[in-house]
Amino acid sequence: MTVARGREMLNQARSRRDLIKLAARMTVGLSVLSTAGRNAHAAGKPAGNLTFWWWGEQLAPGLKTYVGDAMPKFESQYPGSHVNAVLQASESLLPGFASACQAKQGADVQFMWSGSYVLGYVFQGCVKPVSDLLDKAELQHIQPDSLNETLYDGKIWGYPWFASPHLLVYNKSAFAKAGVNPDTPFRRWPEFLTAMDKLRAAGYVPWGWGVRGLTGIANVVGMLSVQNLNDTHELLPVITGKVSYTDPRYSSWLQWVDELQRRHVFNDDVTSLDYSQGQDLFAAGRAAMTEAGGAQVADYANKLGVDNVGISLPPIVGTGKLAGRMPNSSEQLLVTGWGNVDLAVALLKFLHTPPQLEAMYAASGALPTDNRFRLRSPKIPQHKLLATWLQTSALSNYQNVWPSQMDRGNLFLAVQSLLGGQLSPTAAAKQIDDGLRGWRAQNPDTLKNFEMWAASIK
Amino acid sequence: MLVLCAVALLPIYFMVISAFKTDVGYAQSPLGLPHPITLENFLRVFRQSSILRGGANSVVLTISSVGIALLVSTPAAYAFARMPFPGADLLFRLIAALMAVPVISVLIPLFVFMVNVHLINTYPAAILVYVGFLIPYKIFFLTAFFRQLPSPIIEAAILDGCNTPTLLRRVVVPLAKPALIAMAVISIIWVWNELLIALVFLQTDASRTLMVGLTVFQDEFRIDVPVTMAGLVLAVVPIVLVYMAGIRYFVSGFLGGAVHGE
Amino acid sequence: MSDSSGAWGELARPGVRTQVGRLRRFRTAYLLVLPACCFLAFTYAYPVTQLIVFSLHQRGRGEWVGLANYRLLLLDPLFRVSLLHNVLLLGVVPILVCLSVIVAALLHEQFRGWKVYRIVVFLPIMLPVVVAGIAFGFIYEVHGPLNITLQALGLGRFAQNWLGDARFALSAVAGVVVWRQLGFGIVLILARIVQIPLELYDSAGIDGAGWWQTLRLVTVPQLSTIIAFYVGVIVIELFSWVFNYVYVLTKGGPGFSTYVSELFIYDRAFGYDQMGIASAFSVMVLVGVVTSMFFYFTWLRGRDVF
Repeated sequence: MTVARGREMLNQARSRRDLIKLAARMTVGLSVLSTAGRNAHAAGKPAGNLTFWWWGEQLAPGLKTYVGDAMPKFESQYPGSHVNAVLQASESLLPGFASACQAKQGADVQFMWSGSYVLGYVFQGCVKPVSDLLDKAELQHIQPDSLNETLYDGKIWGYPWFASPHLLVYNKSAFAKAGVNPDTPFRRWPEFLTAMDKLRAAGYVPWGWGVRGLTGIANVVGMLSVQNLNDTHELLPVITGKVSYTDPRYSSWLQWVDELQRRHVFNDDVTSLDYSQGQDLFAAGRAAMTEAGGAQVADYANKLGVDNVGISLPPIVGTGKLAGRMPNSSEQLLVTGWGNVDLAVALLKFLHTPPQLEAMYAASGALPTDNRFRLRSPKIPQHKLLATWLQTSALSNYQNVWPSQMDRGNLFLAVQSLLGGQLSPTAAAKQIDDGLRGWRAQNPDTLKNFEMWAASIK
Repeated sequence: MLVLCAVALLPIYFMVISAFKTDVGYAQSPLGLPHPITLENFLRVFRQSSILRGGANSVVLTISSVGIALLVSTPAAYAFARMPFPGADLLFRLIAALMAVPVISVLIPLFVFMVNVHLINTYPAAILVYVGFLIPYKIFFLTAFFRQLPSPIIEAAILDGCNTPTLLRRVVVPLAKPALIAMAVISIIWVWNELLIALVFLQTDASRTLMVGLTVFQDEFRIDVPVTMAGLVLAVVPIVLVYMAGIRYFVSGFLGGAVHGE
Repeated sequence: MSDSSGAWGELARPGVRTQVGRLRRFRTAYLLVLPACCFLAFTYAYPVTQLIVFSLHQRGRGEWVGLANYRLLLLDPLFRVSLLHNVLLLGVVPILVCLSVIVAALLHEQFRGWKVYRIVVFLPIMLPVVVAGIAFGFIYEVHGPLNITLQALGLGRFAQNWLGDARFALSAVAGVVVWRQLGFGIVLILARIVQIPLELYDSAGIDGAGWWQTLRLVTVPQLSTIIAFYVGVIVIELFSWVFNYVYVLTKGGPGFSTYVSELFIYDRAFGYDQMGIASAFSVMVLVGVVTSMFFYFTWLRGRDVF
């Protein structure tokens, strides 16, 4: 097959795709026109059909009930609109959106996990920037680290819906038994280590964790890996190769994890258990502490007793502004490039009105990073603390910047080998750096995108 | 034999006892007996996963796909097995090779196709895909079985003036009943338990299958084991019934009474 | 005596239904095969052509890159590693075949309790893979039942970190595959065993053959075709249908010790936005299998199996 024939095929494909795009736009346009015609008195307000592909029931149970209640309310505020909200399964979120983007049909508002997930679709041209569609007055209510998770080329591409923070959860009575202050157990590294030693002496697994199956490694790593930085975007020069990962600024955390492992802070079968089995050690009362997602805190409060569960920020061990802050990833709402844009924007704004934010929390415990949210009736007292931390002590999780291939195919493996005793921290840092170099060589176009990203952040 | 059974039963034992455990009970003792015993998980399955509608969808899907696949594969297998026509060899090897197409590979092109023809989230989309995946296996094995059918009977029928449809219906199918039922049972189990295709092609609440419905109990990082096991216990019951109904046919020493000598 | 010329061949003798012309005979055959082929063309032809197209473009959707994706693929060490692991998994083939035949023969004897056994041995395959995955995740733990049993039997030195140690993870996954897939083989072999004429066993009995001899000399030769077919299927399954096992148990870890072809495709198509490379891999697997199947059946034909 000659190059010319190939180009010809490609052009045909392009025009076919354009045809589909055009047809889709016309269909949407027609439906908008028709409904607008039927509701002349609602002129000025967007209307029509809106498809909303969302995710989150898996993370914050009860969200489905909230969405089910909220959509009719939205429809009544925007007469002539009809929302079709479809909960996505975790497996089909990415392929669903990828296919929709290729076919240029699908949702008008698309949920997406934050950071480089969103940027990936931005690079493919699937998304419209929300900073072009929403005014500054709207956007300034969002906590800046959270908003900037999708900052690229001077624009914001996703609208944060609710937060997904990761923190330490601990068993207060276990801490008390071991002689650690259950209310303020530790803030800095030395006292953290002392606390862990005391817990082990008292017969507990200090920190329950499992790394088989690679799931959840990032949640723990995120607490330590950016502690020497002032902003998560400072990882970009490492990704683009300007700096080596072996620089202690970026890889000291491997030493800290190694130290914890040598002091038997983790359970000795950490490489044999998977993430949920590690957390179950905590639920079973055998581990005194574990890392958990914000949505799990209420769950543990139920299981172990509201007064018995404490939450903590990561201990301060690094030297950057981000040290000791809580890693967070904001679940994003995207406006797709082919959909009913006006109605989509309306939905985004609607979901951030205070009554909706409060209803969302009430139904599911999901906390937003929007300062219009008032925590009137916290489900558990710990949520008050958590909501405050989201405003004052959060950082954009390293995964919002780090390429996912460099997690699964690189960083996670280094952690497994480190914990299994096969790699020293220095060797692990070198392995991660080599992996980055190989990835850069194999993906020159993505590298260029990351370079653009890095340049646009300056 | 006994050892085999014990090993076979272990994960089933795990599934059943987990279904009756509380979350804390499960965390404390994943492999021990449930204490306290609770029916909470089953209630949650009914409340949160629309198991009845999911079950109905799964039933429709399974019966249609397997039925159509059998209907279409049986004549084809017979032709491959006993009617040497030009190209039969090549075609058979091609079809057999199609068994090796991983679902992962064709998922995205098929998904885009279904979206383009507006068949996404409808039964026909999933049925078409399932039938497509079932046919190569069926043809492959049924051909093997049909080759082993006793020729005398078939020849006798042909000499008696049997045309092909009647031949198939009256002679071949009854002779090959064990094989057909075995294939049907295996295919039913596969479609019923299948997750990835059902997840991608049937996403709406109304069209979701039983297995997909159970994934509501898992999130990005962990799966809520007790309640998922409760759902799976319920989901496996129809399968066991199907198997028990079908196994009589190919273990009863069914011989048709017409095979003598040769 | 199986006759490869088929039932029709014997009828092509002069004087027997001379009206039956060649073309008419073949037309029937084509008609029988047609519906199946239509379905297959639908489900496979379009996606496979799409895969080929994707594999020739940057990331499957961008500019034309010709064979660049294939070149990148061949240079990727993970490409070889994934295929190697699929090949290593083939070690379960003899285990599955032998066990299936033995158990099916036992069930056929219908000894005491057989009705229960035949349900129990088939239960694993009735379960979704995820159940097996989670259950074996516990069984294989360092402090889990498998190691505890080994220690109780005095075989403590064989206790390992089955899923967490790169040396053993693949074998551990293979164990789960055998556990689950055995039932399929048993059903298949059993369905063929019941077709074996009783007379053959009678004559063996008269000649004084023991159970094991009967199995080897009478039953197995009769099973040769179905075993040959079964082996073909197992091989295909181990290359293209082990995704669920690996995904639930280890996700390819520790390291890449359980990384298999499907996971390679999955990660690249669904995770890394490298549809071009994923498609190239799929195409190569398909081509590889087609040629393998071709040679396998040619070889079988040569050994007079059918």
